[in-house]
Amino acid sequence: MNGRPTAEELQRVYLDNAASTPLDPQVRERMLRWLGSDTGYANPGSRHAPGREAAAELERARAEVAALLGAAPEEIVWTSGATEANNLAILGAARASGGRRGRRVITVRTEHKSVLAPCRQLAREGFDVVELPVAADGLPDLEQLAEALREPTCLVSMAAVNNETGVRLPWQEAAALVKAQGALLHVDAVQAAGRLPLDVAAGADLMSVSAHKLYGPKGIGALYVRRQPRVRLQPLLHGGGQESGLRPGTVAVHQVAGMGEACRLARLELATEPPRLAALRDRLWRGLEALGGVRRNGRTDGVAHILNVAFIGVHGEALAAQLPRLAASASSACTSAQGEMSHVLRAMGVPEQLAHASLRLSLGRFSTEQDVDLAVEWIGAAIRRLRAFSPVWRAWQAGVPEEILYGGGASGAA
Amino acid sequence: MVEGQAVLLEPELPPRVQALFAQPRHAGRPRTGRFQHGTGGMVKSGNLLEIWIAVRDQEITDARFEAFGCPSTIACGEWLCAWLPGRTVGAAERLTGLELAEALELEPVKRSVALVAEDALKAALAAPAQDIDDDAEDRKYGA
Repeated sequence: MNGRPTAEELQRVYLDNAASTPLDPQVRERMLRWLGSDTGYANPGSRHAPGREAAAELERARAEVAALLGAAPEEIVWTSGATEANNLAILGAARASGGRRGRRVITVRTEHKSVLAPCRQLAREGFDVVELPVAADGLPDLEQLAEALREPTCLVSMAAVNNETGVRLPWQEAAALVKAQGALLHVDAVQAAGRLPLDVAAGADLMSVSAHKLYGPKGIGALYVRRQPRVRLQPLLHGGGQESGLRPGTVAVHQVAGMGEACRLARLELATEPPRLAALRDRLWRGLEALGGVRRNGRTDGVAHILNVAFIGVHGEALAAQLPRLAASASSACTSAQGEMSHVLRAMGVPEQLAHASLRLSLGRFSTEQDVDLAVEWIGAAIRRLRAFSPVWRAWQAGVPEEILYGGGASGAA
Repeated sequence: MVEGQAVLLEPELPPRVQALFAQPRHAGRPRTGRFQHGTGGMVKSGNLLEIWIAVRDQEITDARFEAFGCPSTIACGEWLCAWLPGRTVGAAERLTGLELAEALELEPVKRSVALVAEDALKAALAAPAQDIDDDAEDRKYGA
């Protein structure tokens, strides 16, 4: 017994593909072509042959990103990732409108922080920001959107898929309302690109995507900016004229090449991979549901790769401490007094302690049935062990309803 | 649930908390016997600890706990229930949350957990003894 961990103890399962995905080996190969010390290093803005070769790679990659979104290549702008794409879309569109189309900006409470934070920045700049509430299933009410649109509005931002729950938001239906009021629609498609068929023609004026959520590298994303009629954006950065002046700076050719290849691979498997992941997710759900006292946060018709579940009767932190070999996302933050609860689950009215006892398990291209079965086994063992001496579980089993046990929704959400 | 904020790999716990949390020997309510029962904390604020103590001639003879809470809460319950048997009621009454926190080497941010444990113990010491018969309970619930 020398304390060296056994192979079994070292075995890990990665079910956090909504946070980031592994780099696909084919993507890495494509990137390496542009990381040589003898070739592939030229500035794509240079007019000599190596520069033109690099520029050609950018255009190939641009066409691949565009193809995944149903866009034209010239409508794709490279960014450093989805955070920059969301900021450029939201700050850029609102500031460029100068309030002429109205000073209202509408978004949804469950949006990613990289959407909510620029909206709150716009509020500081004098825009009138409305965050639409969601129902317990995570969906906003389009009638409330129509109501909010009665004020002259410059921009609406709504994700295609929620990153925590996998809930698909009705952006296509929203688009008709947004168009009718002459506002622009930005769609954060980070969790949808390569996971669902997407077509900007359904009414998006701006759409954000990220490479590292679809087996590409971190540090690169893209923003679709509609050309006809042209959507005007105020750039965030000022410098050279790259990317039509919208995003100055020498483009990172290796990153872009990787994103292009990642989008190509994702498009090729768009018909086969979602059903495979849905089968894995359903296997995961069946395994966890069998434990009893398990709630699904979100809807059953969500995107295939995300499952968000709450476990009654256990504390989130104790659960996390029992799962040292499972990589997943949780909001089981530190003490209850300072614990930062998921703003998404809060908006859905999930009680705070049940939100803390929630796990987001997200599958990916390299996830297997064995991963799913191990996760079910580990989570099941942890849950059974903690419930064995949980007074909350004992009360729940004796018939005390969740609202009484957990004290109702944290935000009192409608 | 910020992206990747709380990946579950290797969360770090203070060594004493880890040891007690990993193998609580006094967890689970007693099935039969005469016990005084006390509760500390509440679910909504993040931890709930219940303690059962058996007292004979001013001496604690047995102690059990149940907990909904973080590893430190469970470790506090276990430490208390291992410490109590053989002590007098007077010694148990003199135990403070601070001493408990020091015994477990709790991080400052977790000190409040020891106060919840102190509350549960004080409540149990003040409670009347009652007979527990889970077999009868099971019959009642039809289990």
